[in-house]
Amino acid sequence: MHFCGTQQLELMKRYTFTLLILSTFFSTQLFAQQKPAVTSEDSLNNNTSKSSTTIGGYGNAFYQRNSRTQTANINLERFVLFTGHKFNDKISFFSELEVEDAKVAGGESGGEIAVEQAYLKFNLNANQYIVAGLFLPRIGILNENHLPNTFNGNERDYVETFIIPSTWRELGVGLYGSLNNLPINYSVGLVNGLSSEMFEHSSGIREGRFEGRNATGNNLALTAALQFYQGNFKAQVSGYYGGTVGVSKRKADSLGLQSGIFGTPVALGEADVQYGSNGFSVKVLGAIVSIPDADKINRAYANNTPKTEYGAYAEVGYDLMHLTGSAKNKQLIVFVRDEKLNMNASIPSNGVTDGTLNQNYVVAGLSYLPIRNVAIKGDVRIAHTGNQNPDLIINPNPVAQPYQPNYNLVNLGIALSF
Amino acid sequence: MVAASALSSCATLPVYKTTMANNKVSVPVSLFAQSDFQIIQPKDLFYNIGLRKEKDGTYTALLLRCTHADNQLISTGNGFKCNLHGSTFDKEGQVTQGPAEHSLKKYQTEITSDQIIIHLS
Repeated sequence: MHFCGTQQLELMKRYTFTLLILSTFFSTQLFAQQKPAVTSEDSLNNNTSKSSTTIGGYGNAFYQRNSRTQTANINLERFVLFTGHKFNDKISFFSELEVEDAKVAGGESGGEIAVEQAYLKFNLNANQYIVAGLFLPRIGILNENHLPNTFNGNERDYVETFIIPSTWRELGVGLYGSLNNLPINYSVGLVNGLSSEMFEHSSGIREGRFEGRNATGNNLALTAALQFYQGNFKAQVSGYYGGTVGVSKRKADSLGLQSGIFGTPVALGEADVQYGSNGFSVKVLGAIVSIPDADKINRAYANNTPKTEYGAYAEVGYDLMHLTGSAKNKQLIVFVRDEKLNMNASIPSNGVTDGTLNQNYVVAGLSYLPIRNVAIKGDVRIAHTGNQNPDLIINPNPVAQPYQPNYNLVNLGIALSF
Repeated sequence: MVAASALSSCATLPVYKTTMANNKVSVPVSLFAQSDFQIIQPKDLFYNIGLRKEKDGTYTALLLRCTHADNQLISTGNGFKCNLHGSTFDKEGQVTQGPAEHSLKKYQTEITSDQIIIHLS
């Protein structure tokens, strides 16, 4: 018992910031957990080490009216089931299985079934744990906490959809912890990198994610985050740096790309602050993506990759039921959010600027939560983009309507989590 | 150094590291001379315990384990948060944001001379 605890602490101190050596530490933990951490009586009676299986989930559906296309649709956007199992007080498993757009049928486009998370969690002590498998690194707010009844608006914010491509899950290992003597939480992760070959014009780095499916292992990425809490205030900074070329060196050389672990890199930096008190809530987030070798990616794959992307949003909300002193677990939140993002803020010499990727949205609406786990939402997204670049229209459709840089979306929907 | 000290004093809750014996945790009453709330960190428990002194002189012990998916909770200065799905709890252990639906588990406590005994059962 004493050997186990002392050994863990010593190993933690030695290897915390050395992720490449983490695997050694990791295997030590696996073997160490065979010993009982506490007496058998303690294990049986303190209710923390019993094996148990948990089930949870979330989902959302909404109606959307698009003023630009003069169309409306209704969609069960997401239905997700969590399954977790605690083997003992040290090792547990957690997973999320997601169905998007309700139905996936052979031979038809649309819909998606995906494993959103599937990882083992190894508790080191009350403040630190390691995850291994498919997990969501702590980047931004939404990537880690994306239950639809916990954010305002039917749609997720676009900054954390296109600049930070949430939900951004990759395969790897992560260390999470908090400090005893400072109000700081930290996380570091080593995951597979992106694929610059899969980058698509108009969605930033989003399509470059592997999301657990046959990821290349030649290129890797490091992520890290620091959180600071002070009462009702929270601040976070996070970052990502990883290679985007997982092909062989021979092939990379022939394409004029830098291969290797961090070859042809993508760097992402993010900062956010949140404050909530007496019914008020404020959320501000900014993120920037840098792809210094975008010109080489364009030369190799002709996908009009930008050199820099950025995005930011600010949201203010107020719970009207706080004003009336209604039941504690009911909320009627009125909110407004301003989102600004530019997916080609700077382009390399061989890129083509697309004004439509310079976007501004004002989202305003109401979220009614009759209980904390259920939300009924109504909102309007007022959109404004830059103009279309005719150079990007290769085969113009003779009956196409002129591009409309101003339009709006009206959304009405429901959301839940449990 | 000064900055670290300032940070330490503003938002962290005092932490007392101890051990478990016979499924009990013993905490000196003197810890509550300056504060009415203390984080207890029993070795090998894998979850912290929040110990609060009530106005009537009794003590409430909260297991800082999320009631949604058993994740460890972090202290936010005025409550506790689960980073896994975002559930939050106040210092009394009541849910303030889901998906958790149940309050934090409470352990029985008793005072014997100068020690607070937390019964982990």
